[in-house]
Amino acid sequence: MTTIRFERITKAFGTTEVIKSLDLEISSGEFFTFVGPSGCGKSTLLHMIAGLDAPSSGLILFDGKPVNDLSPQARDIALVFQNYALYPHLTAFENIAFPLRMKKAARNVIEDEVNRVAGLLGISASLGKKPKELSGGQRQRVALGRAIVRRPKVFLMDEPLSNLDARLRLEMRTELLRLHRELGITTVYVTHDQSEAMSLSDRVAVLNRGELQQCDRPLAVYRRPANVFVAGFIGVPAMNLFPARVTGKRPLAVAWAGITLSPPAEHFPPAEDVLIGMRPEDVIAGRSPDPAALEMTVELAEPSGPITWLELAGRGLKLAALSRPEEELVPGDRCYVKIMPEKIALFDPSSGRRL
Amino acid sequence: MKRFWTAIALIAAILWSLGPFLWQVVTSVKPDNELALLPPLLPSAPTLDHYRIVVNGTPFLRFMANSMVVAFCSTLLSVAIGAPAAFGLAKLRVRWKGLILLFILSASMFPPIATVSPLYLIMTALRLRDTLPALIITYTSLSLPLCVWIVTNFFRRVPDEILFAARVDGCSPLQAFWHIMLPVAAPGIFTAALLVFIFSWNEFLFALTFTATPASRTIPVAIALFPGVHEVPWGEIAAASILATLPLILLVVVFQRRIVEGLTAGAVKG
Repeated sequence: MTTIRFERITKAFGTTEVIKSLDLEISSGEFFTFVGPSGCGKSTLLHMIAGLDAPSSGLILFDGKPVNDLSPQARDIALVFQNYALYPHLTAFENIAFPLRMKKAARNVIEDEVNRVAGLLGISASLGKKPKELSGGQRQRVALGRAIVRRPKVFLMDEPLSNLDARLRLEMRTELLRLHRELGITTVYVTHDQSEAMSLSDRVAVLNRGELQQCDRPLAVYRRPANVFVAGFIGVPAMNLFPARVTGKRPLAVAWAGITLSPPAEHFPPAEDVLIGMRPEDVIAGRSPDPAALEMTVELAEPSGPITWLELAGRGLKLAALSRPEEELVPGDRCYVKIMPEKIALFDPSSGRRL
Repeated sequence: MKRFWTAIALIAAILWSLGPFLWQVVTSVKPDNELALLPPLLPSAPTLDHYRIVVNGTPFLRFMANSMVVAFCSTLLSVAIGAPAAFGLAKLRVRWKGLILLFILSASMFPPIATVSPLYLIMTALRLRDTLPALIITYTSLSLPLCVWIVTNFFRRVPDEILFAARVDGCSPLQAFWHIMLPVAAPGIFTAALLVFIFSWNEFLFALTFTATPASRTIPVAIALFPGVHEVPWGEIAAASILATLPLILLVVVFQRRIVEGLTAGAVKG
């Protein structure tokens, strides 16, 4: 059980700043995820925790002790790579046994531990095979086995599921959650897939261009994005974002697309121009005419079972929305859109910050 | 029809490459009186006389042993020095990497003949003239640049993540090299080793200059010194050449599977 703390961490490669002053604490036993688009610095952070890369300045602390000067093997961490990074010349058994062999564990201990982990991951039958004889899912499990076999202080995962096909990815997600619950090891996970981050993590940190945008529980990040970037990055389909004008003060009134909305805001907009953000699930389209609603045309309909996602056009803008499947809206249909004003987010267009 | 012509072309190519060797084989079993005659293309009565003379009448086994020792030691030294150097250049944080590699390459560009005299003086000064170490040191230094280059390129193709994994799993950089890099890049090591071995086995110029007696003479020099004042013993030369070629053929056959086998099959997702 280990807490990890970043204190004013920066990282630059040459003149390129990859991480710009990061302060963050990951609690003991937490499943913590760094999420962001490629190039946001998330893998660099993971490598710095592992000791494969050194920060340009700042401190990394495990349980309050700086580890900046510790080599990877002295940090007692395990790392799972996107491309598995199995040792191709060793069998699955030897791959999993390798960290124990490096610790000079006794032969019978190695045997027991590898078999225990293989049982846990359901790969007991494949232990004699070389990596090239294993399927993608099996390789991923061997890589996981190699990481958990010696019960490290910290478990690091660098996009471990992104090379698997969709079905296997969902299966392994569940598996990872189960493993985390059983082992209780502090886990730092890196992904560009926001849905993976949402479904796996206790807390997520959203990064963009080396800067921390927001760090909170997944649903808090989803419901209350700290800025425009987080709003657009987290959630599929993405949040609708439009420029609007402030027309009234108390209560706050905003004019958009010819209608007036009164969204909640913590801070009063500093200028007349604002950005409004609406999650597609808070924009509901139906067939029954309503004078208060926006009238639009269905451009695309994407039934997903319980709900149907829509792309609507009208009044010179495009809007992602939701409808009940019973409405049976198809492209070309007219529809009426209702917006939940209490769910609307307001952003300052100059700073991008939530108001 | 297309396959027929392909086959013909292949046979022609094989004959072209193998021709001189086959000629040597035929010559080596021809009786003396037929050596300079054509026809017959094939000997009327194949004989092993030449082989007998080479093996029994000359210190041929001694030459063979000398060549073995020289080639084996040069190969071992080249790989033992070259592989760690290549590891550093391919995978560790080293300043001026590109410059170092360029310098190594430029060192291998010297024509060997330009270094014969200075090396001769050095070997004499070290009292190593007419000894096997003189050849071993020379061959090692000559083949190191090539060795480092080949192995560096093989090491570079090994994904960084495998070495990161090794570091995280508890290896020091040296242990990662020994436990992971060497076995994973074994085909590259074997390729380099084989080339160094063949070079050392065939080398003539330095071997001729640095050796004086059968005590240190290697096979290429020994064969070149077969001709007497009055006659050239073509049959014996052919027989000796065949015997000298056999170990190389054997080596290539034994190691070629290791060389062609995939470098990192299955390590990472392709």
